[in-house]
Amino acid sequence: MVIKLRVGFLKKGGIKLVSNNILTVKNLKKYFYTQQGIVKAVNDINFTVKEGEVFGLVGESGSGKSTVAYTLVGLYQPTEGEISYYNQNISIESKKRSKTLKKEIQIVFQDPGTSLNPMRSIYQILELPLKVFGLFKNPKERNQKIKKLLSLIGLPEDYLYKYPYMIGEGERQMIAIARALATNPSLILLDEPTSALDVSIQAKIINMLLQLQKDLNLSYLFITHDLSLMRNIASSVSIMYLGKICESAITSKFFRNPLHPYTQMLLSSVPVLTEEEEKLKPRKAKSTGEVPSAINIPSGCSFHSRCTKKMDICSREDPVLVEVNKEHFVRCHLYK
Amino acid sequence: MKGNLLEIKNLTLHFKEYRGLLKVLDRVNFTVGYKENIGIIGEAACGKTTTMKAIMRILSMTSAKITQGEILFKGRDILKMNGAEIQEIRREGISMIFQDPTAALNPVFTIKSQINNIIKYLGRQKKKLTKREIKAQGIKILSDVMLPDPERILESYPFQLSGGMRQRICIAIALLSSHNLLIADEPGTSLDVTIEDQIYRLLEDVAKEKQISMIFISHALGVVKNITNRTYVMYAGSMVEVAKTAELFTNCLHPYSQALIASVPKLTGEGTPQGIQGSIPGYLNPPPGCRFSPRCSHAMPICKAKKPPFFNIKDGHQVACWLFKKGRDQVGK
Repeated sequence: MVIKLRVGFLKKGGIKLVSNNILTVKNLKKYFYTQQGIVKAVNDINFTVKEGEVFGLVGESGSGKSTVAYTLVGLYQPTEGEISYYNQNISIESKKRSKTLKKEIQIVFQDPGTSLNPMRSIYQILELPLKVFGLFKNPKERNQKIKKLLSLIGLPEDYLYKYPYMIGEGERQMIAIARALATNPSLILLDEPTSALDVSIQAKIINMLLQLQKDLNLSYLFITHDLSLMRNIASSVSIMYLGKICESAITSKFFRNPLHPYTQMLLSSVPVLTEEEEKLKPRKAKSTGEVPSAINIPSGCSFHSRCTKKMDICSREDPVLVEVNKEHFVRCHLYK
Repeated sequence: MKGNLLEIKNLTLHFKEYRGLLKVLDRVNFTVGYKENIGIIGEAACGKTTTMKAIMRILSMTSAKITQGEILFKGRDILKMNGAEIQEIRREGISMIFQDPTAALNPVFTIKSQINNIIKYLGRQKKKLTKREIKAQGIKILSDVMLPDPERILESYPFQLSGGMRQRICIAIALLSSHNLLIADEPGTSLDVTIEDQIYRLLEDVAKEKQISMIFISHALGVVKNITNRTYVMYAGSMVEVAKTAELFTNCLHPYSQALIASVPKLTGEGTPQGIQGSIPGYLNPPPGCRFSPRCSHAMPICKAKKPPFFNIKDGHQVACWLFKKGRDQVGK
């Protein structure tokens, strides 16, 4: 176990591993037991994140995408299933994870207003992960590291002694990203990092993230509900609906030819600016209905209550994920 | 019907704070015609919601001070109205849909009692309605906004309903009292994409059907493009450009509008956009002259000295930027 972990960790130093999948998720389930019943927030999902790619996870609220991120980072223990970081099984509680592993996987939350401690200065916020993991114990070196982190995200040094309330929303999110970078991770989970921000600031942060990814050789798991953003940054996309992945493909293929009725509906709801974009949208898939409660998931295919192409079999039998085209998976009875 | 339904002239508004005076709105000018859908776009904190609240007169008057300007609704100045008159405007003229339906509905009353109260006081001057008539009206207005099973919904509390349903109820309530103008302040921002899409289609339909004007505020530029006739671009407390919506999105002229529209990621996937350098200036000491000048790549000396007026480009397209001064008429003073 120890040796395996070392190999995974040393990989950045140049040792090439056989598999280039940084993260593999197999049959992951996360249930919550409430008084009203069992909430199947994540229900049997599979995906892999390749080294150095941006993997997009898209879904509406309540589809379980944040639960996936929290489970991966260890905030929740999976009910069932396996998460592997390189070849090492990490489907254990956060408490039981080793510090080397925690350093490797970091997370950036949606709302920087609540994920940064309002009573701490930026310096203290950036210092915390270094303290926790015992990095750069020499005060001078630690100081330098913190300044370097700030320069990575392109903010001037005088920000170190400011507090989160003194700076703009976009800058706060940049600080949250810098904090995630403090431990030199190789995988960062981005849980809707820009959905609380304006488009102009969003563009800046996304550019910064992509630049950092190139410079530091990072892999991202990018969670969002914004399909047009996904189109521009992700190399492959998975669409989630009520705890299950209903379609998954390489980005360019997916946007040219979305197959699942839900993804067609999702894509047709995206507000666009130009004529060329309008042409890309599926015409006849107007959105209807709302996402059902996660406690009472409809029988059979969970989407059948809103589906325009519903058949008899849909309410009886849950479809399985099938490969329709090369590397294009769909979970729908239409494509058997 | 001639003239404009709503006309805002040189509206300037300050907030008093312990740090000093926040100069939020700086001579805002805009008009809304009859049966016209207006869009207002701009970054967060540029004064969109403040302007709308000034129109409804629901700003806290202890801290907000309107130092100059007029808000003319059908030719009458809202700012000079007394309590009874402004109540009448809210009852029969203008109504507003807020961003967050959860915060807009009272959590401890049923939908029925919230809707019934409005129906009861709407008809106050005419004749008293019976209970049965009130209920029938409530059911009708809920089915107008495509809510299934209106009788059950009337009996429920806001927390028993989903976000989309709550926003539909807010729209229904706004439609009850709006005979002329509906202000929709980011009605879909807190909702999911598919639900948002449905809400926008609904709003567009009801505005057309009831022949009312609408002011539509949104971050989602694509939505504004689809449902409005004319669009204003707002930056740091003043309007910087106005044009017919189709014209604005294909041929905008102000450097800020261009940068804002270019910031939207495209579905066709042309790489990530650049965004705008810097951020909206603080309102305590806003830059003199054009407030966009510190972030503008075309800034000239005059930009930092004097606020640009609107210049006429062509039919209704106006830009507040010194770049377009040459040989063009100035609008207003």
